[in-house]
Amino acid sequence: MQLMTKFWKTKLLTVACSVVLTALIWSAFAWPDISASRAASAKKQQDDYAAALQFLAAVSAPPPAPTTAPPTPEPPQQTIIRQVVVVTKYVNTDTQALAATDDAVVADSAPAASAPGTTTQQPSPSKSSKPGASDPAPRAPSQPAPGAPELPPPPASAPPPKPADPAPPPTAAPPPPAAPPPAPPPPRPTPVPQPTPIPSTGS
Amino acid sequence: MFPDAVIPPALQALTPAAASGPWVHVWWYLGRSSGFTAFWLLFASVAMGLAVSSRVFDGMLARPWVFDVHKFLSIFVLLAMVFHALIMIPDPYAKFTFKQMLVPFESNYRTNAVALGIVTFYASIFITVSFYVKGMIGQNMWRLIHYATFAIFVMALAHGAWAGTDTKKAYVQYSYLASAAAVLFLTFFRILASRSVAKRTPKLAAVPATAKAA
Repeated sequence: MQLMTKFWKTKLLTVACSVVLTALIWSAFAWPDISASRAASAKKQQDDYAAALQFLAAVSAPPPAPTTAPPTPEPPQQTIIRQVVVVTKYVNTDTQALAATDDAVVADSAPAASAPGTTTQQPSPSKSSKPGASDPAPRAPSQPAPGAPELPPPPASAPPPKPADPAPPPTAAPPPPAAPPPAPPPPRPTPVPQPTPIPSTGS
Repeated sequence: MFPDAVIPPALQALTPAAASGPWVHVWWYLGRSSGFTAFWLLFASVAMGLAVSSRVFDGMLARPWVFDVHKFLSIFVLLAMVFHALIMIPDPYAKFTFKQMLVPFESNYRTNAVALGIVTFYASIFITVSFYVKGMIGQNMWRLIHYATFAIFVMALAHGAWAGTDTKKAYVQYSYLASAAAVLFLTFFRILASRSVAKRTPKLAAVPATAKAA
């Protein structure tokens, strides 16, 4: 019985030694790989730690103060352009009669036509103003201002006043009023449709 | 007959399809280490057998104990050889198959060396089985079969030196050299011891005869 126990101890010891020997040899083979892997993992861990520290430093740093605000576009200012056009009309003696005729024609069509030799101020069509502004409504050039004294008409032989400023050529004279449109022709008689005879069928 | 790329279910659970890191060579390293262990176990078995027959350990170890350890080692070395072969199959680089592990000259990796190992495994099985059929085959046949043990050891040594990738390392060469020298020494000791016994036996046998005659 004691001999059998010794045999079994020997067998168990042989098996254990074989397993341990195999494990030792395996670890000897695998140790370079394991150490290299550990070194690689340690380096990767260090890199990750450094990257995390860098990220935290970047996050925790105060944000830089804004140096200059971005330029905001200024709203365009609304400008009011007022332009006064001075129209001076010189009427020669030769064309007095024609001017009179023209005046007559103008008087027919527009009773507020200006007298020859007068200077009129009228708002330019390019004058712009805000809607609803307090500007008075434009008056007719020949109408005096309300409440102003009536002036005598200038003499016909008096020379025309020399303008202080070189005025633009009198091309801005109002065009003569257009002739009244011709009377429309009488309406043409509409033909009355004649009843068509019903042809006989012969029955 | 032998399906290729078949892994035993017991090993499939251990097989990482894509092992990574230091464990990618775990099967190859286990195969190499188990090969060394199997070789040294075979060496121990051969040495124990030579010690039993040459009685070199008489006075130091009980002969029945040495004989029992020798029988146990002859079986245990078979298990080590099986483990050495099967642990290579899951290796993702060598890509051994069952057929390549069981049929000689089927392996793509060092065909002749691996075939030598396979033949060594089959011969070891044959000699181990002869232990248990000694009564059937007779003493002389059993002894004749047992002489093949020397050939098995030489084939195992050649397999390790030829197929192994660690043969160039000094400690591996020293281990091969030491084991071969030990087996050679025990073999010569066995031969010399048998001759000594043969010389002593007639004298011992002749003395009683002389005494009888006297």
